Amino acid sequence: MKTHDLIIIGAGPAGISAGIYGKNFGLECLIIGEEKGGLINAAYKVENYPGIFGVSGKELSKKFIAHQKHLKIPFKNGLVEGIVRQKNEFKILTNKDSHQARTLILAFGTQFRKLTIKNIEKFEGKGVSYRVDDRAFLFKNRMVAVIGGANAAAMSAVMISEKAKKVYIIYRREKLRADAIWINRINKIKNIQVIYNSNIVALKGKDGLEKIVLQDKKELEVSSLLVETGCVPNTYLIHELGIAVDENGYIRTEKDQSTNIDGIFAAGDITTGSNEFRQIITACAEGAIAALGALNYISKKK
Amino acid sequence: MLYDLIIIGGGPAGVTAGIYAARKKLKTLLITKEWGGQITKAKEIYNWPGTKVISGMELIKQMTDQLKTFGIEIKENREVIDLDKKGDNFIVRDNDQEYEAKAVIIATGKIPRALNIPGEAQFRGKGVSFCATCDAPLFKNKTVAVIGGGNAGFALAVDLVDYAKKIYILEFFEEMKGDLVTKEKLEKTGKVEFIVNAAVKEIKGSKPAPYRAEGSGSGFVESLIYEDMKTSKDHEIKVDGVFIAVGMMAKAEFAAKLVELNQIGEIVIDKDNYTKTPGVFVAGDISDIKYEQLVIACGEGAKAALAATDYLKNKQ
Repeated sequence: MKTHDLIIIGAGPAGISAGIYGKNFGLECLIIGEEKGGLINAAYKVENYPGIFGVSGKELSKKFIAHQKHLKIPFKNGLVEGIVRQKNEFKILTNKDSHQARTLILAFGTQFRKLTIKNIEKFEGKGVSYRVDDRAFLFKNRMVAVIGGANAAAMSAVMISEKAKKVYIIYRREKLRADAIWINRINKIKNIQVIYNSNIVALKGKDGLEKIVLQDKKELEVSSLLVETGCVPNTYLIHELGIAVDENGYIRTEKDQSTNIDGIFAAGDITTGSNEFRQIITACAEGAIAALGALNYISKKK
Repeated sequence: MLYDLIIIGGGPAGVTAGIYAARKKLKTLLITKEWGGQITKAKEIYNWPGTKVISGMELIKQMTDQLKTFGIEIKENREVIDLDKKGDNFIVRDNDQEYEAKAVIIATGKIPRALNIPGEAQFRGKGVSFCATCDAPLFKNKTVAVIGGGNAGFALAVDLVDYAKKIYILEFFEEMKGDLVTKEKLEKTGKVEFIVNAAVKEIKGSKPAPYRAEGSGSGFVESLIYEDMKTSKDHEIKVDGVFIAVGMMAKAEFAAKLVELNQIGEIVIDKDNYTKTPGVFVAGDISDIKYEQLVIACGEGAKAALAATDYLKNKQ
């Protein structure tokens, strides 16, 4: 089996950036991932990625993918199921095949946090969703609740408000956490109502979602609930490798994006890097740094 | 006028910091001598994630256009000469006036290192250049010298090969430091002569004509003198231009009262862009980060702006 210089697990901004830089540094690399573009696919609008302005997350994602293809950085679609440490290399087992590499960059990001409400599973796909992507039309003329108060919740609420009859934002604190620019927009939109200091305690409905119950027992008639309560790290691979994580499950990284295991680097939302700000541009920067780390690691070994 | 934040520098790190600060609705002023800095010299950038290829000039234009849509205040063509504290706030002074802010981000980047030899300053813009993308076309069918045999020098030579008829590349050490692949490419053109162990001592040129208005009759580069360090002999070569690529230099003395500078003049920061003075943040190549890359500088700019936002919030 061919041994790659570098295998990158994850194909979001961090993974693709790592691939671009790895390729430019002359490393022979392979990206393995499930979803090209990762979580940016779910962003309504991206306005803070320097140099590419006013695009949807999907559009930005397409540009990243086009760049990866243009540079002929090999990509394999697959879910990584295991990483085995061998002497001087790592063996990667996916649900389809296996690969070998001298160094790894873990860039498999985060996933949407699920709500812990009784019987929520019953309504998933029947009113409860975790991402809108660019499909605001699904909410046409509907009564919608968005739970969450950060940028993602604010953005989705604004997007949905263009189609929906009414959008409630339900947030557990007294002030939204989103950037001021989004809060200003929300304040100007008539069919958005923010409900502060609240939470959802129950969901009601015969077949699909019909009502949500707030903690003060108040009921709101909504047929769609969008959960935007942030993300949690994908941890499925980390434990068996013995990679050090923080108390929330994010991979601890050093300045050069190295982990506690020689030859394994990590980049993007999955790490504790970049002051935990977790931005597209910081993910890309971490990807580049990790690729440089991998390059230095390989040159030292030679 | 009291600003929340003053960003010093209009390169990738400073502009990204500006985009982030503006989106947080911080009352922000960005002061810069020029836009882009080092990247304006890059003819083709292949590693800006999401963009297959773009020139440095175009990329910084897109970034600054984006910045300007958010409506932050900008002062161009200003060089900051002093940064000091005033109570809890900071005073930033440029060559024209002074400004006050609650927090500061320094993102002034690096500038090309000068040789500090006779003739270099005198003939700057009159044959002496640091930027082949900008000036190469002026040397069509002429003879030029590139000082510095590393990758930066090779890149200059690659740009010059299309125009110049002869290129000398002078390297101080025993062998060329740049990539072998590029060296071979340059050799194949038949135009390039490599000179090692060369300590460049002087750039000579024609004297300005007397009694003429400034600029109109000033002299131009005619030759270059270097010492062959093996033989200790001086040599003079006739050249019409001298391109200098002997590395980059940090220049942050203006902030020295509030930040720690390392041996090579970079500002010491922690991993979250803090300096020894709370409220003064640093992003990009002027800091002591290990890797200097465009996308990394932008990441640092975003981090510094978000750290400054947190700092301001906690101060309230």
